[in-house]
Amino acid sequence: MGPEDSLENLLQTNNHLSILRYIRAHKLREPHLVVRHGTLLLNISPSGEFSRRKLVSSSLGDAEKLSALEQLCMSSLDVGNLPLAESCLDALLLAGGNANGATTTGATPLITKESTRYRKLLALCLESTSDYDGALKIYDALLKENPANSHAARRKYCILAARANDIAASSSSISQWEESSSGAQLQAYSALNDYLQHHPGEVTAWNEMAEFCLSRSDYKGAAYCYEEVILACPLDSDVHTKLGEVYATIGGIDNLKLARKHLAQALNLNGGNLRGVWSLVAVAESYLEEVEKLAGGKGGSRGISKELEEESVAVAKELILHCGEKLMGFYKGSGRRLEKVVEQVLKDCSEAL
Amino acid sequence: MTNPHKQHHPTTYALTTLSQTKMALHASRHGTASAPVHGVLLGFRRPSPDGDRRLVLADAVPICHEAPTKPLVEAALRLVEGYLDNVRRGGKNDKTEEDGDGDGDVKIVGWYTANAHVPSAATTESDTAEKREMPNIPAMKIASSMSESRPRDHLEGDFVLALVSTPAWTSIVNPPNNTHDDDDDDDDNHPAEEIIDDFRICHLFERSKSAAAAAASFTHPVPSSRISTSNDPPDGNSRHRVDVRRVLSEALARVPLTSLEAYHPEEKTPPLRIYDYVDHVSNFGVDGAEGLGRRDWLENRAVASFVDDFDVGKMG
Repeated sequence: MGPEDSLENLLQTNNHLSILRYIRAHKLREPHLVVRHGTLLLNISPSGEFSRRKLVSSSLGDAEKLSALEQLCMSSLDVGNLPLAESCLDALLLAGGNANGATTTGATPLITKESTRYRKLLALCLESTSDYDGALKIYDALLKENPANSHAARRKYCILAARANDIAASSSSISQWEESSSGAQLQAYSALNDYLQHHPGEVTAWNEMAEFCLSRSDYKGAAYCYEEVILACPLDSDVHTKLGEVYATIGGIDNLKLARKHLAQALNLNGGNLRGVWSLVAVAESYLEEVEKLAGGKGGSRGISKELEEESVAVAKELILHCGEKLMGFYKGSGRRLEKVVEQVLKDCSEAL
Repeated sequence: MTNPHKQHHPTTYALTTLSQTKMALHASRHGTASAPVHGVLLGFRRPSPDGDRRLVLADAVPICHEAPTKPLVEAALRLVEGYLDNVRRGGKNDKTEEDGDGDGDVKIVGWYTANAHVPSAATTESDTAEKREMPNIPAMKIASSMSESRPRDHLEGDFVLALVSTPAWTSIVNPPNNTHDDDDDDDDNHPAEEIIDDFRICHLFERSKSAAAAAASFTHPVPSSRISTSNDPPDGNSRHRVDVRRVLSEALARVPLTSLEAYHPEEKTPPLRIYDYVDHVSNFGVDGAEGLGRRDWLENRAVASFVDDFDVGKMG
């Protein structure tokens, strides 16, 4: 596997090992591919049967075998194939050293039931069967041994979030749904909050919190989280887009201006960010609407008035026209009907100016 | 034209195979990413013989597979409206052949969603009033604000929120009667079944009647008695009724297992893809205008012709 390989090319060659490695290296989430190629590589049937002898004597090196088994285990959980996942767990113990302590090379066993990585996988399998208590026991034990074990802390949060959803889904009345789901959701929320306090630099956790907030329509919270993400990834066009959209959703003149800025930055970073362009058009229009409402003098108490906003209004109008031109350029050649639709939408926008 | 008395008639809803298939496909497409899906429902009002208000939910346009934000939804809605104008004014009008005094024009009449997380409790078929899966909060908020901002015409109050039902979806993908293998060669020889039920992939919710409900006001579930599946084209031509379950299970079987557009191993028939607005505007840098045309989220022609094939009786 070299730098010029792409997944498509590798798939053509049907080289199972390289494919698995590629997916692992690039941290792709392609569980079906992993299951297909992993089972072929390791000689495990899709329903989880394997020959102990074949596995132990396979030509793969130990480290490769174990990594592949771990990867296959996680992917089979991802596609919901529990028997296969459990077989992987068995195979891990075998391949890493059998119950008697003997291994292929005669050295001490690599994997025992006490191994941290093994227990992580075991706990995931338990989660899969909704045995949350069993999984929690393992995670708590892991955290006791190592309080900084971020994986265990994350999984705890995930279990709480899953429980919150279960409760929400099985409520018998709407009021019960509102009450109970908010209780469980609060638990999940505080678990994630704790996690963020302990690992404040972890971008994926901020992202997760942002999505959590969005799923509950807590846009202000989501904005806060995305700001943290931006600190870590200031040059990522997509994050700026997301943040701009969230500010626009909260609403209000100041937020709309902020939204405009972030979306403009997103486009600066990536001129081909089509989503950003459309969102910017929508935001600029919302902004103009808000300013129009000010004309009634309601914004007086906050010192905002239509006159003060004049410059920004001009900018907004320019933006709309500029984006319109860009969009027409993008859509050229995409099909007559689509172009017509886009043209009309943009015409309506500019006529309203 | 509306008789004041008639306004108290509860609306009946008719779901077409096309709209159900699109909703189901959209929900399946993002299964692995455990993301919510959202989209709009297109439809038209059709007078029914007893003078009821009947709303045909004819089609669906997928919008996103994440929690929706305002600018995203606004931009997408603008484009949908533009598309509807285009279809109505020019182009092929296969949706609006309607004689009679009903308003045959296709409009945005609802919002659909599927929840992100599949709760473990909700995988068994339990459609009783007791255990009911509720739509996610952003969907309800959107439905509320959209129904409030609608022009006050005769479609007032006919905005509806559809939730793809997890038990229904599960029953298609993992039918309880058959021992379901994990590989793809199910035998296609379904015994000629009597088409018994009015299978529906989704629940419908209306604006809650109680004044107390504030934010989550689309919580009033529509009872099954008011929902039917209508596959009748507006011209009333009688074709044999299509088994919705069958259409859905074949459609879902063709959902591609990986996100790689170029790769589909061993699939006997090409995969059936459905695009939403977010798909459409993503990856523009990769394949430019041609990609935009291919990711036709407004029409999803591939899905439409798939469903059409069933209508014409090709699949019997």
